Amino acid sequence: MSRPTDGVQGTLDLLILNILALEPLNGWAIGLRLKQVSRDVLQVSDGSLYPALHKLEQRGWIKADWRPSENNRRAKFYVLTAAGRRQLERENAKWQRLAAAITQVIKLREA
Amino acid sequence: MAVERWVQVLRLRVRSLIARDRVDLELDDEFADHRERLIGYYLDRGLSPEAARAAATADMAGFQQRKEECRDMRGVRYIEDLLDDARYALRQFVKNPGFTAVILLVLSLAIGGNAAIFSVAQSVLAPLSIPRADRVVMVWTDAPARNWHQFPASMPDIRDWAANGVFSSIGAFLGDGFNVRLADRTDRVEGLRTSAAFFDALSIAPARGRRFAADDVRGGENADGVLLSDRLWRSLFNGDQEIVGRPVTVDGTIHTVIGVLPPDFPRFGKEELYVLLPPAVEASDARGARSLSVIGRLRDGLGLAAARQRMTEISLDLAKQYPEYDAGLTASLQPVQEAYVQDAQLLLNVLMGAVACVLAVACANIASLLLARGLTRGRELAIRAALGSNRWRLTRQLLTEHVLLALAGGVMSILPAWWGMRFIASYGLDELPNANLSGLSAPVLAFTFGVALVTGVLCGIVPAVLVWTRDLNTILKGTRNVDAGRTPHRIRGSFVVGQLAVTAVLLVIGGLALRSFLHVVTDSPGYNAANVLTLRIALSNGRYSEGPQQAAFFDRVLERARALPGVRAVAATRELPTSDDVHGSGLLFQGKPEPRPEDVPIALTTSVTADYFRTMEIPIAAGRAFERSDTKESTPVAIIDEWTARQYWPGEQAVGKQFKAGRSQPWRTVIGVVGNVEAPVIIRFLKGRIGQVYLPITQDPYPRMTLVVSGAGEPTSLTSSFRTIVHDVDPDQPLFNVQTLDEMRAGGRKMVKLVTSVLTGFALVALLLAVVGLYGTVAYDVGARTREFGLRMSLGAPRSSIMSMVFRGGSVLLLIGVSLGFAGGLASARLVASLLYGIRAADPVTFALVALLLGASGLLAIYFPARRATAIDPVVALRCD
Repeated sequence: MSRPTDGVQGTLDLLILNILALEPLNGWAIGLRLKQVSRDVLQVSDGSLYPALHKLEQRGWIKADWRPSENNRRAKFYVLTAAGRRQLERENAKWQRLAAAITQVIKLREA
Repeated sequence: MAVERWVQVLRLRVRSLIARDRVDLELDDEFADHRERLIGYYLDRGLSPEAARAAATADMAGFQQRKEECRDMRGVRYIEDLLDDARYALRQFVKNPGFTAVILLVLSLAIGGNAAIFSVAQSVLAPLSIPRADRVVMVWTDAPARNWHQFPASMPDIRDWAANGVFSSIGAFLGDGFNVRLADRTDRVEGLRTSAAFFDALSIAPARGRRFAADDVRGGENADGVLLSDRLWRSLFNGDQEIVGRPVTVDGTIHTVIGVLPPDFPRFGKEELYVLLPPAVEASDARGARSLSVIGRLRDGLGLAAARQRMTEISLDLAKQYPEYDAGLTASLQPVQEAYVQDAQLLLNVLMGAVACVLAVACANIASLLLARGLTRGRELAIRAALGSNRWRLTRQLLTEHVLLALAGGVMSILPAWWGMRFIASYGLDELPNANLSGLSAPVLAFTFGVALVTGVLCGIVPAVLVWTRDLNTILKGTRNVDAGRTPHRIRGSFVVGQLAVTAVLLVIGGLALRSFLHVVTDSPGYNAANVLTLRIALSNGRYSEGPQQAAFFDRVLERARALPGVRAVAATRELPTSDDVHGSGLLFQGKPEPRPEDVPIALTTSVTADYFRTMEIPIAAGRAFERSDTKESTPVAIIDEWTARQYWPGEQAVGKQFKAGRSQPWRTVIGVVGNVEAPVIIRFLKGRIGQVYLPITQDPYPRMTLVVSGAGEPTSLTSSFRTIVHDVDPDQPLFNVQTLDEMRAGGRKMVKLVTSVLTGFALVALLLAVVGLYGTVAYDVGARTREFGLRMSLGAPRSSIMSMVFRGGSVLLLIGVSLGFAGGLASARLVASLLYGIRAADPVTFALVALLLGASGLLAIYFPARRATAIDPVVALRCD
């Protein structure tokens, strides 16, 4: 029942929102894209991706879009909502501020 | 848009709740899609279809767990769980219908009792509809040195109070009963005789017509006006729209309806009709005749504290000016709202305390019942915990069950609550004004369900605590014996002790009430109240202003009455022993130094005709009764009761001694000593006792007398004959307050009767619950120790030793419970001491009887499980799990 810690969870949410900002994707494709962009640094199992997606959907940042899949089943695609886009901008700004601050601290120690 | 987002969130939440299956199906679809893509991925990597499927299955092994997490994300878990718990709880209830029914019954009675008392309290304690009620006060006479408080006042004192600028208006009133004749039917109606200023002080305008005006009093043409309560107008007068100005016959004389009061007009008792005080009372200069209740509105700008200060000064002045009457007396001001509820307060406190105790006992009982069941369900809970339910979840489950149970009890309590309200209202107690207005209002319902909810949580907390305190693994592994554990056993033990203690308190209070009631009912009042009719006559001042005229009138009436068939004896007295109008006089003794005015002993005085003692069957202990030879011209004489004789002439012969009843009175010679009679209710509440002095009417005449008639048969059958006689002697003098002496006495006992029936009822319910609780605990203990007892017996322990082991365990609980209860009983008995009559709060008989009752029923409750313990077959016991 272990869940990613808040920090990682927060990062995961940010990554998902960024990925979906480009185009609507299904869970599988989001997992692939995650591995690509993070060059396998982020070890996010496919399994833990889904609770994160459902949480973002329940919060209204993304919404479901059901499309037919290749073999005539239905596939759930996730689409960034307008609220989600604003949330993404806020989160990105926050992340950049945090990253800048950490970089600053590291530079100080190196100096 | 943020709104858009919330719409989406809300839509998803609702969908998760009401279309749960479809949402789950979508999740399955999503995972199936994932799986297909995963298989496709492995196929692209060159795996065989079987290998690809196997790899996908391996990859997705944890997905089942993820499903749960996805569901958690829906944010409706709590509601879902709650519904699940509720469904589960309902199944539990249906599976144990007997168990559930018992608990519901206990709950509905306990909660219903609380709701009924709450409802009555709410209507009784509701704020009065008096404009600026904080400016309105009751004005009482106090005698602090004698510890007498809140006495009525006399008209001369009221006039002096009114003249001092403390009040913008100050009115007097007096409770009375009236015979109201409409066409050919006469109804007896409770009412008030008031001064005109009474309505000014209240400042409440009638709904129709007008209130009394100041010049109605002085023989104005409207001096015969009456005001009706809204209820009387609706019932007796059928809501007649043209009522104002209509004539109505009250006590035999024609009066005019001048107004109808609004429905929420505050009542001091059960009054429905308002008549002006007789001119004789308005003009009275008898400063010592204190029979009037007083209500005043403070002058604008004068605070309560300043008004009190001013009244103290006035009282000191009056005491100086009229030491004989007013020495040692002060006037006290009491806000009317407080006066209104003070009689109710103690009564309500007692009733509320009692119902709360019953609820507490019921709670403890249900909790230990549930606990016992909780223990047998221990394994079920343990298994569920082992399967991954967390303890919070189990706690919530248990609480849900109990709250549901209690809420059902709340619904069922409405019937007993309603019945309880009607029961209390049916007594029509003066002490509980407006009790008839109580009903199932919104606040009462809110209270009922609030109590139910709290009860449910309280009952559920204990089993829930066990989920936390017990090592669930032990339960899983353990046998039933280990399972019993010590913690729940101790909890159950303390529950039983608590129940027994609270029950003992209730039994003590109920027992005291019952003993008081028995005293009131069976104590001889000192006279024979059976078959005695009483009729009051108030002679109008104009024609009978002189004492001899008054005495002559009653003489003529009595002479004709004696000749009536069916009349055994007939007499007249200024006040009946049951009357709350008490007349006290200071006693001064011949040959003893005169004490300071405030230390003069007070005795009740009344004037009676010669046959009074014979009619009332009051025994003559020494000397003689009054005779026709005791006239205005002969030596002044008096008769005293035995208590007075012993108090003031201890060890001496009282007959022949001389005393004065009031400084300006003549010396009187004691000619007889008669038996003590029961004092009026108002005197019984005073600390200490007061003697009774009788004067002959010929030497101390009075215009208002009560006729007492001892008849052979049904006393009320004589009423019309008496009306004829009085009418023949003087058609203008009405008869009123026609009642039997038994009825008069019963009026004073109604409160004791209500308190007694409620308290003893509650106490018995609590006793039943507590005994069942004790039985249950001991029985459970025996069940849990079956193996141990079997082992002991197989090792040679005699059955008697098993029995005494069980008894020891049970009696310890019983002993602790009863001891705690007695301590509590002693403490709470003091609180109700003023409601008791004829016994002390620490009445040893009551305590002994309660100990006997509780002990006997407790031992009986232990005996049955103890006997079962001795009947254990060692072979079977050792083989059992």
